[in-house]
This record gives sequence, structure tokens and C-alpha cells, in this order.
Amino acid sequence: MKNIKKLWDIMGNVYLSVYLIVGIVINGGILYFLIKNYPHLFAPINNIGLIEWAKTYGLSYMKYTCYFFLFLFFLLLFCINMFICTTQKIISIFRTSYKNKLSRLSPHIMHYAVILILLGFLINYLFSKTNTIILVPNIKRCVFNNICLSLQDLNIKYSHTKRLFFWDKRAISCNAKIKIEGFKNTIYKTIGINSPGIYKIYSFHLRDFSPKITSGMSSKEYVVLTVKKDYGIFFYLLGTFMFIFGLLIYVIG
Amino acid sequence: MVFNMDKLLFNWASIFYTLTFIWALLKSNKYCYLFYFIAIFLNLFSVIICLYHSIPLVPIFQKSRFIPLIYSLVCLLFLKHKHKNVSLSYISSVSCFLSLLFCFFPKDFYLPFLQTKTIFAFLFFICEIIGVSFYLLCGVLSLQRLVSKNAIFEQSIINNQIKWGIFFQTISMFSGEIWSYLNSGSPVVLQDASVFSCITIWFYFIGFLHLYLLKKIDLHQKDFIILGGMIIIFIFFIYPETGPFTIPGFLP
Repeated sequence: MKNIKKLWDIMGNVYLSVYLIVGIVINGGILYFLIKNYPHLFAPINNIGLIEWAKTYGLSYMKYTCYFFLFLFFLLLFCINMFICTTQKIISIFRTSYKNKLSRLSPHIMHYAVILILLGFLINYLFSKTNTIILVPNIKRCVFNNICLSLQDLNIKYSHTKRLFFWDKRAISCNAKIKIEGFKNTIYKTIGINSPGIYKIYSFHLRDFSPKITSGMSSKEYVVLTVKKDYGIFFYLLGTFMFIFGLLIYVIG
Repeated sequence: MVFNMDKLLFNWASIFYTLTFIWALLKSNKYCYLFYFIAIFLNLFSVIICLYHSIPLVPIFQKSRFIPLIYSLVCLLFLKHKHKNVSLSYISSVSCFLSLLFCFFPKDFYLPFLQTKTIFAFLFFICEIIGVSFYLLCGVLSLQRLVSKNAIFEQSIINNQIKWGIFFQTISMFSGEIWSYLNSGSPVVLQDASVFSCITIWFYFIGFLHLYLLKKIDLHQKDFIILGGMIIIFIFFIYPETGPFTIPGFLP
């Protein structure tokens, strides 16, 4: 019990917070240059997830990827430290009768929000499943064994304004109507660039499409979709809103 | 032709930013404010042309046009509401440096891409520049305080600017997160190095706000730490927006 108390005090040390932030800044700076020079080593994390990436790219290119592991370690320590510090402060705020409690709580709301956001990211990279498929009209393709998708309609608008002269005859918007089977009911979603279809924990993102240009040789119609099964979204969205709420009180108050 | 106009206006703006700095050094307030307003006006026009030919897409590779303008506007807002102790020569030196840097080392022109067609991309783009402009203003205030060797500004004034910087940079990061999620389903796209440039700058200034926990740090040390932040901003935010050396043109 004494050891746990000692560990709790060490991990909640305020000096440790500052040292960890310094560590994150230095490590973040190194990672900036590594990702700039070797983006192909880090890009697969988004598709294959953190564990698979660590087993393959992570271990094979340890010389470069060790900084990423170190960064994750710093973030983990930072979260533990922040949780302990914040919890101690919140207990003391509630024990004391302050006039403006919400204003005093605002930094701590942000601290908890950061933990939630990072937890959401971790869940995303550990447990989310990603599949990328190409759909052509009226041909069914299945992902995750049970969800079948087919392209029902593709509506592409092309730019013809002089204002966007460099974008002339290029696609300026794209909407694809997708039929999704495999859930209780068959559902239809119209998705576009930056406008995914979301159903429960599944999201359907339009990554690419064709034809993009009206002039020249006409190419076949197709869309490239990323289907994502993401468990972390609720955490990082909740964390984001909590952080903005805390930040507004902190800045205005 | 239109893009040349945009570039041309920016080059002229950089001349007026330089004149502002020179006149501020000569302590002729009347002319330096006049030059500053002309520079901002020209810079604003170059940005409007840039936006006019991009919207609904975001000119995400044309950050260099926006940085001196937004920094100058943030400084004018600060000068209007806050201190008369702030020297325009210090403030205009950064405008002058940034505009000349982007004038002589312009980045290659890249077209905006379709994925930027969302309000979140615009917020990500613009709020980051506003946030960094507040940090740059803090750097100027700290430098002036160090050089004058008097505590002519209270630390709370600098801290307030940092808070606003963090506020805007956080809005930018969250907008980027939502944009990335809408586009690819991942809140962070790890193959993009700019993710880590944002993280590095954000954590640096978050760390600065937590320095009160280490009670031994005095004002001068804090000023040096903020100036360290300026080096970080230069490496991770300003330098990536520069390109190879080019002799700028001033005629159509």
C-alpha cells in the first residue's frame, strides 16, 4: 500500500509534467523530420493498425521507428501524470468553497479531454478495421465478410467557371449512391468527398473516383471507398467537445 | 496572368513592410503607420485574389501570402487595445522579415486539391496562421523586454497572447482532426509531417503555460524560452513554406 502511494506521488509529480512536455516536444520535432523524409514507413499505420505496423515496419526499421515508440511511451506517461495531477486538484477544488468553481475547473476539464482524445486515438489505431475497395456500377463487392456494397449512381459535377481557370473541366464535386447490404435492413447512402456515410460504428469514405476530367479520353466510372469500423470515434469526439468547452471558459473567464 | 498579379501585389507589399520597418527605426511614426497600412492593403489584395481563384477549395500551399498579413492584423489589433510601450520597429521587423523571406524564397506553386473543399479545411488553414501570429507577437514582446532590460510589460500580457495562440491553434488542430476523419476515417494522418509540426509547436507553448509549476523561473528566463519558441516556429512552420532563391519581379 505504501509503495502504491509512493508510485502515485511520483507519477503525479508536477515537475514530471514539464519534463514530459519537453520530451514530447523534442521527440515530436525528430518525428517531423523522420516522417518528412520517410513517409512510406509511417503511412501504413492508418491502414493496418498499430499492432500489425509495429510487428512489421516497426521492428524492421527500428532505427527510424524507435522515436515513434518513444513518443507513444511519453504520451502514456503524460496521460497517467495528467490524470493523477488533475484528480488531486479537482478533489481539492471541491473540498474548498470557491466562488467561481467552473472557471477553476476549466484547465482540468481540458486535461481530462486530452486523455479522452488520446484514448480515442489509441482505440482507433489498436482496434479499428479498415478496408479499401473499388466499386464499379452494379457489381457487388463485400468487406469484413458480411457487408456488401454496390454503386447505384454516380453524379459528378465539373467546373466550367473562368474564376477557377486552372480547374477547368475538372471534377469539382462527386456524389455516389451506395447500396449497403449485410445489416438488418438494406440501406442506401449518398457519399461524397469529405461527406462520408455513417451507420453505427461503420463509416464509408469516398477516397477517389473517375472520370475526373471531361476532356480527353473518357475513362470508366468507378469509386474508391474506405470502409472503417471505428470504436474510438465516440471518445475523441467527446474529448474534442470537452476540450473546446474547457478552452472557452479558460480564455473568456 | 492572374497569379502573377497576386504575386506582384505581395512583392510590393513586402517593399512597404520594409519601408515601415526602416521608418519605424527612424522613429517617424506618421510615415511608418502610413506605410504599414499600404503594405497591409496590398497584402490583403493579394490574398483576396488568391482566395477568389481558389474558393471553394482552400489554397493550402499558399500559406506564405497569408502569414505576414494575419500577423500584421493581429499586431494592429494588439496595438489598438493594449500598450503604447510596444515599439512598432520590433513589430514591423517581423512583418518585414516574413514578407522578404517569402518574396525572395517563394514556394513552388501547387494547385489546391479537391479534398480541401470543406469548412474544416479552411478553419484548419486559417486558425493555425492566427494562432502562430499570436505566438510571434509574444516573441516580439519578449525580445523588446529583453533588449530594454526593463519589465515594460507584465507577464500576464504575454501569457494572454499565448492563451489566444493556443486557442486558435487548438481550433485548427481539431478542425484538422474532423477534416481528416471525414476524408479518410482516421483523425490523424500519420504520413503527413505537418501533424508533428503542429504537435511540437502546440506542446511547446502548452509547456510554457505550465512553467508556473517550476517556481524558480524568472521573467528573463521566460523571455528566452519564448524566443526559443520563435526558433521552433521558424523551423516547423515558416521554413517549410519557403522555396529556392528567386529574384522577385515588381512589374507586370
